[in-house]
Amino acid sequence: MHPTHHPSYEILLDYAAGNLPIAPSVIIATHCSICQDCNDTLDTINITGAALMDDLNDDIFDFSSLDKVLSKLEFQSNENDTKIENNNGVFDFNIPKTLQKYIPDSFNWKNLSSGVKTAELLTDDGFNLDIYKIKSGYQIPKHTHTGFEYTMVLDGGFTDNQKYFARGDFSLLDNSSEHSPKADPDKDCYCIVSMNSQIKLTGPIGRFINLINF
Amino acid sequence: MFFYSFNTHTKLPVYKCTDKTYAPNMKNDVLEDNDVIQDYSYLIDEIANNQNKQAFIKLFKHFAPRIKTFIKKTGLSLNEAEDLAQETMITVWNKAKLFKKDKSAASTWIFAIARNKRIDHLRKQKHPIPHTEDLLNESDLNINNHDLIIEKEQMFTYIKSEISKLPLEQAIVLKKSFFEGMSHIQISKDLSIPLGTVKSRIRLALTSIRKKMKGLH
Ligand SMILES: [Zn+2]
Repeated sequence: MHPTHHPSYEILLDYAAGNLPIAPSVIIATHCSICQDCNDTLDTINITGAALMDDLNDDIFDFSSLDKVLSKLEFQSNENDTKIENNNGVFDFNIPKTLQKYIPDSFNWKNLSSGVKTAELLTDDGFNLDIYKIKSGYQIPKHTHTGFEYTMVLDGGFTDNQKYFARGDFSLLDNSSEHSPKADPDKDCYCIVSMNSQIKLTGPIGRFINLINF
Repeated sequence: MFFYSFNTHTKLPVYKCTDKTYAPNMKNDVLEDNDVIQDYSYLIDEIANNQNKQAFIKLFKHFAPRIKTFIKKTGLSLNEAEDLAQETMITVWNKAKLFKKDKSAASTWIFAIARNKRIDHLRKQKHPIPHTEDLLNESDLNINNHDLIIEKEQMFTYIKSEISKLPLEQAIVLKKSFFEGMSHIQISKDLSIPLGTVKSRIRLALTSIRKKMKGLH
């Protein structure tokens, strides 16, 4: 699969070095698991980190710990690791393996508006990870965020600010971007979304919905 | 084409990763305590196939001090650094069978385990890692075959020497990311330089390293 929209190098570096919270990290890992190009960049980042670490040494290392470690080594049998079973949860499309362990067996869908449902997958370090279902043809009212919004399309697609986002595509928005994504007319769109902020609806109808739903 | 020639002072013969036969006297050579470049992939194979504790000791002597220094640098205590270095090495023993030498050098694999141990230590949930099976399922399998033939240990040695030649301003940003746990936004604040400058330094550094990696085939 060849997604068109990718996380930038600095986001991939933040993720790989462990400087990005878990929720957006799940989105980056999932994107990299289906994007050869970003996976290659990740290889570059990993080799870079390893090269820098290999240059470190510690002259005063106490090797007496070696005996302790050796005593803890156990014989490893030749059995293969158990394979993860496919678990698509309630979905009729393919959920990437990387994401599967965050998908619960049953969902507590919350209606955000007539065309949008969400369910929370996890929350950590100020960031939520949610799955969004946007009804086919539905356009989310114009809004901004008070923080960051990481998104990856799982199924279907949407158009936002004249760009098209299909399965696997990634988007990162900050508080400067106002947007109003519209789902494909013929198919419901599913995304994973991570935010550390509130949505602020900005259109005239949006301000009204703000009061009711958000 | 692969132009980089392996260091001549290594004791080990150059071989392709697909080659399962090794020089018969290699075992003694490789397990001898000396300063020559080690084939760490071979040592991990020894653990995977023969539960070879001598091979483990070799790996421990090289990697444990570096992992400990790394963890200490990131701001954790001496005890935490010691514990995580030991845990990493025990994981190397336990997961040796999962190491794929056609995919990465031993150093890249082991240091990634160490990095993930540090991240997991600081968080409630495990660091998510891309499941490569997804890529195999989804990609058109047009991966350049040369990728699989290149000896990853040689590649690592070469890339390491290239990384040491990076402009200082780029190296500093990378070190802050890996060793000081700073996001690119935090680096920009820490160095009092614009966010765009941090981003372009990261991009320049990674693009040039990536080009070097690609230039090998
Ligand atoms: Zn990508």
